[in-house]
Amino acid sequence: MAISFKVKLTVAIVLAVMTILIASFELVRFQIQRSFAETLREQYERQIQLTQERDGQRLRSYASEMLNNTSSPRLLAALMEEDFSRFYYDLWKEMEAFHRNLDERYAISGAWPFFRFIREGGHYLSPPRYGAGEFQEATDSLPGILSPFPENELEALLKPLRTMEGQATEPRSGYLLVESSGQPILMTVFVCPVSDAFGMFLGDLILLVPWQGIEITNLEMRAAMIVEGQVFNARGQIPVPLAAALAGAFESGLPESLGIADENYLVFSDHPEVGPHFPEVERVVLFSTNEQDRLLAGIRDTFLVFLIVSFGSSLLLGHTLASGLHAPVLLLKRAAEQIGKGNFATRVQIRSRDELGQLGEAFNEMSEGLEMKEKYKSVLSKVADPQVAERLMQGQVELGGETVQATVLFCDIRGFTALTGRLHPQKVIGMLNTHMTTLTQIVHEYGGVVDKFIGDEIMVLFGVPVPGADDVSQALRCAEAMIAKRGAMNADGECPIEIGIGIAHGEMVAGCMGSEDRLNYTVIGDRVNLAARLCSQAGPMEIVLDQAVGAAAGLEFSKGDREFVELKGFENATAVFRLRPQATIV
Amino acid sequence: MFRLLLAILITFGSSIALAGELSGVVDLRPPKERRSVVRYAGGDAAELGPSAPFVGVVYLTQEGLQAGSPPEEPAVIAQRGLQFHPAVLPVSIGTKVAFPNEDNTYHNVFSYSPEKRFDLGRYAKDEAPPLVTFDQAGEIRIFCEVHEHMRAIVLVLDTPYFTTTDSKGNFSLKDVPPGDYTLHVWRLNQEGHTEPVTIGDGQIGLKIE
Repeated sequence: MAISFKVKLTVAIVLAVMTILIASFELVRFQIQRSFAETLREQYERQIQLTQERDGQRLRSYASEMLNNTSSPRLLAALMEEDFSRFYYDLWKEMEAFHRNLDERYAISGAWPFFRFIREGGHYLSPPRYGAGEFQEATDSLPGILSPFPENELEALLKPLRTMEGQATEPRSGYLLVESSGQPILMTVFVCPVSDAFGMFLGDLILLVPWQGIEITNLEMRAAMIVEGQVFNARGQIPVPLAAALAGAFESGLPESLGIADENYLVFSDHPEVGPHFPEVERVVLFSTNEQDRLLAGIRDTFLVFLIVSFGSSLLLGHTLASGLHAPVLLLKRAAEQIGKGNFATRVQIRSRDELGQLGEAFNEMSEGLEMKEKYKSVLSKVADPQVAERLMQGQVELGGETVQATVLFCDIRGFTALTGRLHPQKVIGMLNTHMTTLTQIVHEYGGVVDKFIGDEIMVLFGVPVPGADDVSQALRCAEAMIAKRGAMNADGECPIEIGIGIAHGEMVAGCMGSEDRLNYTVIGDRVNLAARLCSQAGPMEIVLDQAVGAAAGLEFSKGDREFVELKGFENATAVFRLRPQATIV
Repeated sequence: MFRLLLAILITFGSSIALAGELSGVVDLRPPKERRSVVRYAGGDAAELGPSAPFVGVVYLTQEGLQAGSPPEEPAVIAQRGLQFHPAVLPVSIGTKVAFPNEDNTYHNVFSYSPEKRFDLGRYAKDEAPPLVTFDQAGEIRIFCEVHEHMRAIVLVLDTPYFTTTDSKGNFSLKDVPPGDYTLHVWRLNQEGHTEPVTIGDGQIGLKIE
């Protein structure tokens, strides 16, 4: 079944509203996500910048402190005498600032800051007592000296970092992953080349400080550092699966976002600058998108409510609108159906002023026009033959006339004057009308065209305006039918009327003739006159044909049947045939 | 060189001179610029003066030769214009050295050198710190705990025959009894130099790269 226009319109409106709503939600979501990511990136970049500045500042301050401290004559003296216990002792005393918040740092990272010195030439100054020390011991008795790492391992790690010959004596920093009882600990390493007051290079003081991740207040975030493919996170902030995912993703390049166990993170990373001989590191910060997700969920809920409400309202609106359109359309459809059935008086009532209203008006005008045309047609059919009227309305009749081969039949009443003299004129007309109506019906039955009535005479054309296959025989049969009908009518006790018929066939001119504003469709020609003369030659209930009709109808007449008559207006005697059909044959 | 020495020996060997003289030039690298650092805030009353040059030391050793009894008078390294004067002081074993402070500020002379560890503590201009006796041969680095740039070297030698060069490296060692010695040259931050030398009663000129 075809879907109603009303349903289509309603569905279209609802769909449009839904689409707009959903599209705007998507747009809002996209914008929020983008601005969120942008904000986070800004935060991250600012933080990274701050961190870098902080690290740089730390390095500079360490370096200057170092320079200050190592310019301590005692330290230099101890160094020159290679008196390491003296050296480390004095160094520790000089670097008090270095020991602040040790407990906190230890709690966070499991390590504490300490330092080592590598002499120019590569001699690693082992502290007087070494080994994997305890934190308490390290802070109480040998602060800055005792390290949480095995000394030989430390020596192997630190030695390559020293300032080589020809290398610029610039302070530098980087990151090292050092193992302490199987646990990797990330240390930020500052290398400070030290020269004495005479500009003589003494060696590198190397500070190792446990790494601290970036923290941004009010943000859920996790910081990590990836060193040599190993993910290291401060405070154990990154759960094991997340670290594993990071390490896995590291191989193929870090993704932009990472989802672990219902938690989604945006991933930002960069490569901090490190000094020569330090391993490459990647700094990673994961921002939880929980807040964003919560925000989006809230918006989505609001949108859902909107969606439901607008679905209902758009349905209502669509229905109302569609009904408003549908009713007039339905009205027009029904009216059109009426017109189709020929009910041209149908009118539609559309009050709207829009295009539908205009359509209604146009429709009404159209049906008025149709009605008028139909009226004209029926009137025309009354004054002209329906066939001629049809042709005239179709504009197929040439006004100038055309030469055609046609058959003309004249039929008049014998002894009409005598007949009418006996009767009341009213009755005569009634009788005449009945007679003519009957004959006209017969003419139409045989495809003839009633040209005109002339008193008691009827003039009929065959072959014009539309040529038929056998116009002549039709004319003949028509004539026979006329006589038969008349005979039958006479037998029925009506006022007996006898008729005579003349038929002629041949070339004549057909067309509309008359004055400019009043025309008659008729034929003119010598054959027409002949037919009229033949009619007057016919006796009661007789048909007189000319030779052409007889031949064309295929009738065979013996020579005896043929007679020659002198006709008025015709020079020579004309051969005619006289038929007397059985009046009773109907 | 050796032939020349031999010729000199042959020429003057028979004369009855009691002592010979050794002179020459030691190549000294120009010292590095020093920066002066005052470690403690509050400023210094004394003005920074010119530093004494780190000159070279030339000394002779001989099998069995000892420093002998040290001189009665103590040697002196003064602190003047925030500098040690002289910067290089060769002494024979057992010599006492005084460290008088001539500046209007405190100095704290100390050394961590294993041959002689001492720390005189802070003292002002008029205080007389105890004399330090250097009784073990070696190179003793002297620092001032207050002024990082102040450095001095006391070279304790087990020989009576030693001298310093001038700032250009010229030296002259007189009154050395003739004999075979080993000549030593000490220079700060530069390689030392040893070579055998025979002293007659004449003069020997040496050029040491």
